[in-house]
Amino acid sequence: MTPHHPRNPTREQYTSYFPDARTSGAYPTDFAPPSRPTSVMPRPPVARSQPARAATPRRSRAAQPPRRSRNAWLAGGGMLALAALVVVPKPSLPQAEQSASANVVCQETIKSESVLSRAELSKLLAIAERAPKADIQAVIDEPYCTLPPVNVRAGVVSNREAYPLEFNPQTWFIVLYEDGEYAGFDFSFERD
Amino acid sequence: MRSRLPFNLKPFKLAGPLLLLGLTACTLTQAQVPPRNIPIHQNWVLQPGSKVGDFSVVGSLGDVSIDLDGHKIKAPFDGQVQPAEHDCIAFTSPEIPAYLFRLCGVTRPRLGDVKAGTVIGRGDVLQFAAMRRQPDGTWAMVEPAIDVLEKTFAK
Repeated sequence: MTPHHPRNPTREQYTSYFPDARTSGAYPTDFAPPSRPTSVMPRPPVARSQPARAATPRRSRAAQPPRRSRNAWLAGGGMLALAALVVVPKPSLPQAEQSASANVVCQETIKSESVLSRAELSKLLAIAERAPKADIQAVIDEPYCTLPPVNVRAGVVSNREAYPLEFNPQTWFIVLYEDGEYAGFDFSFERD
Repeated sequence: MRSRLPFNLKPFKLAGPLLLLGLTACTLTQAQVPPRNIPIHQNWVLQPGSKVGDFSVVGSLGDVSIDLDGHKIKAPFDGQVQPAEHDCIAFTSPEIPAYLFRLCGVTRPRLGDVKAGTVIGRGDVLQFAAMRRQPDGTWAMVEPAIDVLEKTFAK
């Protein structure tokens, strides 16, 4: 770079690249590589409605605002903000809303010491869905607690019973009944 | 050759890899949820995603179509969201054993374990199917109760 080479050079400096430059239209050599090595790609002179910058006295470099660093800050900040939008996890719902619709608590504790042993569990797993409720009750005792009745299917109320596992009290075995029929089971992990 | 841009490229060179890292982190966590295969008891030919000529079937027999118009879809219970075939998601919960909800038409679903009330996506026209497990291991389409639907789309 030549010593006095501001970022956006004035028109007068470009005219030296184009000996017979015209103000209208593009010059063919504009698109050709420069014939001699240059540090700045020459731009064709463009007709301006305002008077040429050369007419006004050029400010010294020291007095010019630091455009490069300001633009760099803006660009960097913008990119970081974009990255933050992508990386930051989605905001969670307010706690009140979550607890209002949560259904994790027992409705009524039936038998606080009731647990499900391995033998009982293996017998239960052998019972097919849609068997009568009596088949299940023949294998296992009263539940630890009942969960609130839930309406999953139109016109049918489902009842649920929960049993902690004897060998893993933090895992609950949940059974669902509908109309006196056994519908299915599942395990609920990380329960107190 | 010096750049013609009015600003310095250095901040972009630093932030570019950071942005890429963030994007890959997001996509990797979503990709870890295994897809769910739902064998349906009613052997209907047309399911969401089937093609009729050049057109896609969006909802089939057994789907309840809800005009959500971009509103939020929430998990009705504590459970897990898994991807299913053809842009559908399967929601199951240990609190309601033997039931599965299939939701089709959810944009950018949130996969994995979710708490009750967590937003799992949004949709324009949602196809909601409630299914109950059968003794042979297939899932039968049943009519969902309004209670469950309200929990899913409540404002």
